Amino acid sequence: MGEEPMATVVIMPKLGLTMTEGTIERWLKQEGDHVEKGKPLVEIITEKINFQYEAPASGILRKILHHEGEVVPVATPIAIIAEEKEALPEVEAIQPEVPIEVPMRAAVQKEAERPSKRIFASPIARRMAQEKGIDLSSLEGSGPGGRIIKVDVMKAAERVVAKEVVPPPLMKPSERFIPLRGIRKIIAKRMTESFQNIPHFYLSVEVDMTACLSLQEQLKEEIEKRSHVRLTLTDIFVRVAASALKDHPIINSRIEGDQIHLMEEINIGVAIALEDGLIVPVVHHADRKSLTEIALAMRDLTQKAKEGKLSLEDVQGGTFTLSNMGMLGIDKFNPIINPPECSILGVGRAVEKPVVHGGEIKIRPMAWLSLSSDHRIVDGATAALFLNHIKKLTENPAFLLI
Amino acid sequence: MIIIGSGPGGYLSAILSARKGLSAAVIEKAELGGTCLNRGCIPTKALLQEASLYEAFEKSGLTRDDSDRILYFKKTFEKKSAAVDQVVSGLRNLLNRDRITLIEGEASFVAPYTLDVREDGRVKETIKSDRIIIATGALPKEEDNVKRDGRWVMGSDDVLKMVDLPLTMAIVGGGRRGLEFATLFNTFGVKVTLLEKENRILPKMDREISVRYRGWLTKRGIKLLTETEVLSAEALGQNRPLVLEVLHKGKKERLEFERLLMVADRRANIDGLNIERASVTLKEGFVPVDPHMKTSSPGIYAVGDVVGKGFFAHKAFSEAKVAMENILGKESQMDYRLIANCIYCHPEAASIGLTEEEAKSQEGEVKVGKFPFMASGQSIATGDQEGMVKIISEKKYGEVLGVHILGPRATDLIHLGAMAMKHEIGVEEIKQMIFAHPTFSEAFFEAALDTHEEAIHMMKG
Repeated sequence: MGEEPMATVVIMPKLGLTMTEGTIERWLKQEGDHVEKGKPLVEIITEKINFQYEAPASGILRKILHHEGEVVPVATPIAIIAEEKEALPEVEAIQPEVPIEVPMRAAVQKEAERPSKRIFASPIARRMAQEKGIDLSSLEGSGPGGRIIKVDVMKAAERVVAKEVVPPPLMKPSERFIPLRGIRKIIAKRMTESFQNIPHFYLSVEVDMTACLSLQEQLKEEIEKRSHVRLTLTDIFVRVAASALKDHPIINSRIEGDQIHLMEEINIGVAIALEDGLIVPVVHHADRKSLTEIALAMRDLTQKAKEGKLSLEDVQGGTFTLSNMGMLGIDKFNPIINPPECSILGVGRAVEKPVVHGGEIKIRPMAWLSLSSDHRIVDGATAALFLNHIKKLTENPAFLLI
Repeated sequence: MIIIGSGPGGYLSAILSARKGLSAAVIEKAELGGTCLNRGCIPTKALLQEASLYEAFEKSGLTRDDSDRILYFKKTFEKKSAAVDQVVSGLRNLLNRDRITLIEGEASFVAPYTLDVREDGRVKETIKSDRIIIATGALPKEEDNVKRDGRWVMGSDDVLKMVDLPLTMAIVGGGRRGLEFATLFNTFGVKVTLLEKENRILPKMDREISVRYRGWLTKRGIKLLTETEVLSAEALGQNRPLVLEVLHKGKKERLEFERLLMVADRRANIDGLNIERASVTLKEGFVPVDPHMKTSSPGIYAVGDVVGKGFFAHKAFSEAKVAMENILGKESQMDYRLIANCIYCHPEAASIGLTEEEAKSQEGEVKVGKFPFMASGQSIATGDQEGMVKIISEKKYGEVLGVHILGPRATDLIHLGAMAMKHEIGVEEIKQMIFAHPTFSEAFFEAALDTHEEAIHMMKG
């Protein structure tokens, strides 16, 4: 007799240090389908990315425990893979593994933030909500002690009906609706949060790109020859920003409660446009990396982003973001801060302009740099010092060598 | 806080304000405790309890002759007075405990927020406050054609002071109070005729209760004349009958009784209060209030019988609580839907929410679950087999819309319905409860089960 086959319980994976829960976006296999170890099984959305989770074992997807759209804490069983006729373990008996990576403090805080799971609602309200398909957890109760009562469900039902009944005004037959899901949904949520919660202010400065462009020209061939990677202007700006952040630690910070946390690491996120949305992979320890190392990291991240293979680590831990829209022909723009960071640098295109230099009109490649900052952390003068430091490094990249 | 009147609405307002740190003064011109303690709930309940005990003695053959009946009647009134004394002194202690000032005298407004208090016609105090609660209660309404003399033609206050037992009595008003007095005097051998101007007694209650009551009253020998109005009453003095001219179903009739008791209509007791000086208006004999218990004059509230809308101490309590919450800045509204209507005769009756007729006209189709006490073990054991429990519920979600109970402990059992309605506990949830056996409240459980034809101790069809 061979070894008895064991059912495999698929749990909500922990894709990064700070991940506590994930949303099941889409099951790529249905109950009864054959699945193969290492092949994509389910699409999961976390705070930052959506991710294709691979089957941890081969067999038949016997049971899906959590369905699309459900938010599930890390380590919760979400499916069972087993042989065709194998008896399934009792779901209640499955003990979720305690995710060891989670630091206790963070876990406790998260627990306290989350509203109590128990919903207080009258029996009639519950029955009515179930029948009308209304999620009780989304309602605020007007009964004693905030208990949800019938009238709350009725009001919610009226809102739903009102939403359904009102036709979109001036809808032409050619207009279509695109559901807000996946990465689009994440962007919508995070950018709204940022713009609503962070008091943004914007500074701009025009820089002479002559030195920077000639640096790129000088190093490009050598780096390509040595490391088979093309050095881009973005890579140089990553280096410039990292260097400037080192001298201005207040910009490399975030708000945590009523404290400003000056981040130890300098991790620079770079906005990359994908077909279905924007993603911001992170060049970790950018201040300790050479231009070649930055170029290699960037090539790697861009590649992964395009293939949808970024891991949560690749997009986590950013302390500052860079958004270069030069190649898209944009002169100047005000980017939205990528929370919880303090600032974001927007880089415009380099364009040849007549500038007065030493009393003479000269043609120089000029570009606009724009900095959006969180006014809770820094004031205009502080941010101006930082932006001027960037300008100095851009116009005199030799300072990077110091 | 100034509170005018020390009945349930007044004394609760005073206690609540004192507990919230406001200094409270209560003005009372008559007995402390108002109608409820002195002339209403408490004395009548004491009388009805004694009456039902007497009835039990009579049924058991423990009474000898007429002298026993008259003796017991006198004892009954004495016991009633003892009960009244006890609750009034209890209330005095409550007011003392919360350091509430009691001003004895008659209040009258001189300006919106200023009151004179008179004793023996002289002003003994003038007090001011920008927060005043009027809780002066109600009085029997004077009829143009029937003059009360307190002896032959009586109001409910007079009847409680009665010392002799008449042989015949007419009671005008087929509502709760009329029924209570009718059964009381019927028990002590008085030939009672009950006159009601609507086409049924208890016109505001569920028709089924009204119909069952009619049968039960008739069986006891109480004569019922519905659709009857009194045109005139003439008292001819000692040993001569009182002549009543009535219009019964459109026909004039002449009737003779020893006594006449008028309990039909009441009006706000605002005599001498000069509410017009406080810009408080009056409407249809009562002080109108909004759902926050505010009168037409800012800062002046009214609670209890003086606002009409039924005459129950528990309604006054609830209104006082609402008024005080609004005075203390917490918006709250009075919900009259949950005021139980209670009748303390034997058998008792109580109802809350919509009647079956109202529910059908408002909701269309409704569910009705019913259980007769006759089929309840406890009722059989104790011999209390009159009546039934009826639960009216909404069809789709099983929400309880109304509960109507006739029979033993109805006025206590009704709170199962009140709790279900207030907190939206549906018929399904009641069915899941465990009721102790044997109890009268099992009938409530069985009525819930009957909503879906699942009652246990009952034959169907």
